[in-house]
Amino acid sequence: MSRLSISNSEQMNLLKFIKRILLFFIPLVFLIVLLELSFYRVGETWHVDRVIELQGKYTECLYGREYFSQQMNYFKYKNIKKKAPEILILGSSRVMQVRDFIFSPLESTFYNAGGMIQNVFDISQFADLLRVGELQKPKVLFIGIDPWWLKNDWAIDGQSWLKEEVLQEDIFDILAHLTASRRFIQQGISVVHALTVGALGASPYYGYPAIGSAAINYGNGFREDGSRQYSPSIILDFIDNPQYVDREDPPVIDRIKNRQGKFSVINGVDRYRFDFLIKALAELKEMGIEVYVLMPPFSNEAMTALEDSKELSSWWKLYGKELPSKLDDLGIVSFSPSCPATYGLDDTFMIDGFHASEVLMAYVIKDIILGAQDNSLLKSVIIRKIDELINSGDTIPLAFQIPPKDLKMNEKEEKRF
Amino acid sequence: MQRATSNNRRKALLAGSLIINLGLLCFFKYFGFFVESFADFVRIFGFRPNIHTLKIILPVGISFYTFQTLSYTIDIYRKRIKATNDFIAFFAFVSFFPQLVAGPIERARNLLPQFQSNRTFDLAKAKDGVHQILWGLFKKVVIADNLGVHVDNIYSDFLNLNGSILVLGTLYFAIQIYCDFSGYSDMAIGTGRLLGFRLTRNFAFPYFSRDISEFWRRWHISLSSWFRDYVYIPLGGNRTGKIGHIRNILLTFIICGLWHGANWTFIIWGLLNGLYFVPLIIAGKQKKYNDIVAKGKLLPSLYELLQMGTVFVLTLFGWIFFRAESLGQAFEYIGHMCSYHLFIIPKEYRGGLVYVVFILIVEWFQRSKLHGLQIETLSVKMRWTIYYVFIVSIFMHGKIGYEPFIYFQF
Repeated sequence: MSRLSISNSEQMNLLKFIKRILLFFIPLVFLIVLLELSFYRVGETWHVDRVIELQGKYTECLYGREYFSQQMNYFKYKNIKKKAPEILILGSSRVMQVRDFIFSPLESTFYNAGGMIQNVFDISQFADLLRVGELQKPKVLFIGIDPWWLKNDWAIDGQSWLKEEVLQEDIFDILAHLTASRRFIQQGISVVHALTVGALGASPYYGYPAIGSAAINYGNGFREDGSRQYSPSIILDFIDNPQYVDREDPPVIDRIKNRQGKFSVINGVDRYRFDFLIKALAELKEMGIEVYVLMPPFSNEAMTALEDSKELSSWWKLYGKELPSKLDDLGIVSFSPSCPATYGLDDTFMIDGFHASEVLMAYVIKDIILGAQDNSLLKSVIIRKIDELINSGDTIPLAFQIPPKDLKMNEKEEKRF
Repeated sequence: MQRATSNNRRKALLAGSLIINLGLLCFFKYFGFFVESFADFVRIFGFRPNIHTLKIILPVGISFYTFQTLSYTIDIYRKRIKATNDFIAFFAFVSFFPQLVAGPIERARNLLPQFQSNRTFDLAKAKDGVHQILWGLFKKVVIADNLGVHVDNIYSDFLNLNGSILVLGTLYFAIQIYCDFSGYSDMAIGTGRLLGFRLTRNFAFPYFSRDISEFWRRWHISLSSWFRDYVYIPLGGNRTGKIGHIRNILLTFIICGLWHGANWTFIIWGLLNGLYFVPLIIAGKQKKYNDIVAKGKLLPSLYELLQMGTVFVLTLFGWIFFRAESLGQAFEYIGHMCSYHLFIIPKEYRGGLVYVVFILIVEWFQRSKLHGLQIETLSVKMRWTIYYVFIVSIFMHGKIGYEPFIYFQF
């Protein structure tokens, strides 16, 4: 076998070659360092554990990454582990608007884990986490169930997305950094702006500390109680033009009418998933948890379209009638699908066709609390305070707090949003 | 085999080596295919065989290193090279990492001596090796992977798409497979040069070929020359009269097709390419073009353009079978291509044309060079600017995530 022999001239050539390579890559390394500094400065690459610790230190602190994954399941999982809430809400993004102060004086025992559960298998996975003691059992559990979870094509049988995603942290993934850098450059964000703003700077409109680019630039992120703050621009737009706008793209009403996406039933609804769901909920009840099942609100127009649709009727019947009936047989309190009209309200209380505002969710939760068992922890909640909040002069259909008008995003970000 | 004095003994040893090597290859690669094909055949006669095929995982690169080691054995038998006692050199030759999984398929007489002799660091070759790696990486992650998205979408939904999109799909696949495979080869060869090794050139701008014979002297050169030396010539090559010549060409290409995969689509692809040779053999013009097209000129003549266009279209047609999952799908695809709306191209499919035009233009102007990024005649500033542009393109437009090389499956 030959040896790689190096004479003096070859040695010099090799050094020359290495120097050239290094010189060539210096600008690229510099660019990478700048990008990484920018990400770190705005809190995008702060570990979720650190974010949780910091959120606990402020009265309110918003967390919203823009370039990296929110690691939402991991974030919520760690929060539940840390806080061991007695009142917990689970479900998809459609329950994310439930705020802690609705449960006064029990707000410190509440956590909103909306977003963690995206299919029926996730509920079972969550029950497993409680059963093995990974997470402490709450006393009261609200679970928001979405109708598409009963579709045949929604998640592969037995596949819990929660199980797959809980322990990942994107910031250690090189490909995630590459994607983030690319988006950062494509959006033309000024590195100087990113370096000067910094994390824990004020989030727009409300002024409280924020971690992550989405939180800092748009006021979009998760609050300390786990609820989601949508960009306050939505609220300012509503104040200027107080009309219902379905902000989903395409609008939910169109998706229902065209049977697209979540509302397509090409592959049919699935009795296996229905039975699985019932079993998972029964399991939770058997653990001694006070379980309340809610079917988060649709807009009035979406609800009408769903109820009137012949093609979706068997699916809607399974979800809206059979499911509550079955849960009733098992002694699990459930609340049928609702809409603003259920509470005498109009669609201005909806963010879009299937996401209710925090004010409408307060109506929903109030209803549940009023119907709670006598020995329930929920009976300690002061209903009068919920009424005061709802009827407060500061409350508009979309939010309990109107952003102060003197706090504005800079023009460039406003245009981009 | 080298020490054996009797010819019969040497033949027996060669046969043994061939049986073991090809046997392993056939087992891993073709067992299921032959069993299922046999089952399909007997079903024609009304039998219902109860078939159990083994779910065998195909070792990565088996087709490549099997051929590489076979070339060593056969060349010893032919007394073209001496057997080596140096186990480390031999195993390094077989498993040399840059070209292990997808070639170029190296001949022992080229690569083995390089492990046995002193290598020196050559600055110019190392620099060019790095440039070649960059060029290969660009072709793979920017052009091939991005075109691959269009190709996958088109082939998965071709029954609902109009003819022009299907034609585009074929065009995109032709460029995808070229950039994917030649990109890998460039990276392998460039890495080899960085380490002081000289690997066989595998692609020489094949889409600028003027006839099919030239195409196969420019496409996957290491494989086509292997088949020429170890299948075609032993069969008799062109020394058996025109009919024999045609037979040998067709057999060689059918086996070449089969080498690519255990599917009738590859066999038909091979057969098609063999059939393309027939007019050349009849006319006695299969080795007409040995130099680059339009040498010393900026643009090709009209006739050369027509020649290149014809060869390109013929290879495009063959790629339909290569890409399709089954013969039925291939024929359906062809049938749907010939539909109305042949000249309407929806916006979402047009983006790929940028990559096609780019690669063809760059390679045209670089066709006398070893690879597309050999630009040493330009100033340092210009070169570095171009290198940065490529790196930024890879960073901004390269597909993120694992996108396997097409030829890894072979």
